[in-house]
Amino acid sequence: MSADTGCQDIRGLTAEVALGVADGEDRARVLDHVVECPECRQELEDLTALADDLVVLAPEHEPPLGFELRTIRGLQPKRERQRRWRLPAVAFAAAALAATTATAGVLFLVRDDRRLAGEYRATLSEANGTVFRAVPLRNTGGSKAGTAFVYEGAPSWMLVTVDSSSSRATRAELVTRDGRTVTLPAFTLSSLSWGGVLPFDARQIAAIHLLDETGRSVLVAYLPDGW
Amino acid sequence: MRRRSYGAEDAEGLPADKAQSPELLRPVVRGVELSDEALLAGLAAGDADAAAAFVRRFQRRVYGLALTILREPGAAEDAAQEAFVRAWRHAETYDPRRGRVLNWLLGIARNVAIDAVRLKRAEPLDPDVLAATVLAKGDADQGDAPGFADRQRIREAIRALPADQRRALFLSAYLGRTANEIGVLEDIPLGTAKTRIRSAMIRLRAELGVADER
Repeated sequence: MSADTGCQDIRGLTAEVALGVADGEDRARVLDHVVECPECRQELEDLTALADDLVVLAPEHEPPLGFELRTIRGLQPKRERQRRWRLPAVAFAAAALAATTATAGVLFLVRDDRRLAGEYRATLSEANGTVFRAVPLRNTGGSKAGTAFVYEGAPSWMLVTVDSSSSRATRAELVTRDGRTVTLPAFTLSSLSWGGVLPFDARQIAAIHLLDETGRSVLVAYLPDGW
Repeated sequence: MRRRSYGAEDAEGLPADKAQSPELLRPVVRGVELSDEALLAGLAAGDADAAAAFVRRFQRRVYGLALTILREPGAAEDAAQEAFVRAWRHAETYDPRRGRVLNWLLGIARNVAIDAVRLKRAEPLDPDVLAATVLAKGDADQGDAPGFADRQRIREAIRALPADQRRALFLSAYLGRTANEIGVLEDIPLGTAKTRIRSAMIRLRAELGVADER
């Protein structure tokens, strides 16, 4: 078989390989051939890029509320595994820290940390609280566009601040750990912020969604399990 | 594989060479927005914030593609979630020289959705309906959205294809049907099915290539 005939045969298959619908044997033939043939390799590259761009034409669609949270939870086991792997490093760091606490500088640092912890505990206890947390509110592009400050106490409350690009948020919904969606009836942004009492224990919150007038989630923040 | 440009801007509003630069693998801040590559690197590293931002940025594209192929919201949600899980597991394998993060991710989503269709042994969607959905809803794409001009040019080129080639193209590109399967579905010989697939792709490439030279 001449080189030209070989290329002709291969080019009868490049489109199917590019689209991912060629069988294994044809795919192997094409990939073997393009290693030595720059013209066919170029065609395969062009058609592969074109095949990728065809799929990008599919219209966007807003997924159901809670999709993000469920998806992100599905990505967590790896992080937990990594945390376990880090345990020896943490133990080593703790041992190293213990060995150096004899120095005066470290003693000052520890004293400062203790004072800060004491002040934090006093602040929490003032409203019978146990946890205070700040989490980023992210826009549809995944960038930080505000902050949610959540206080667990009696009562639990929340303050949100957003930047000017997110002022179209007109509604707030909380997704709870058991999957319920609770609308905050009193929510309204004023001077790019809102604060108010929450209708339940703040530790029940898994996600905070701010929605626009069409009901689309424009900002979201997540609170980790067991915060 | 290099990314093809159709003469308009890159999907991120950057020149194609910048969009593929390995420099973007570092968590570079563009204004306040991290690049797609930086978010993917964070996802691979197990960074919770990066994972949340990655899902947030791409969820409408991934879910939209899954819904286009599967037509059923529950199945589309399952497929989209699985696509993100696979992207997370294989994030280290992403090679910026072979295309943008969005294309890589949608390639994963397409395969997951096609697997789901095959698992259900469902009849493939009518490719004319599928093409109409993709082309018509695409017109709702905003004119000022990044990459809009490129996408419009591809849509116009697809509309100009002969109907039988367009059907073969959508059966393979969106539904993962082989030439053999297309032959059975369309009641045509295998050779004719292969020719339709190839002719559609070559014609699209020529149309878009000719426009590039203007």
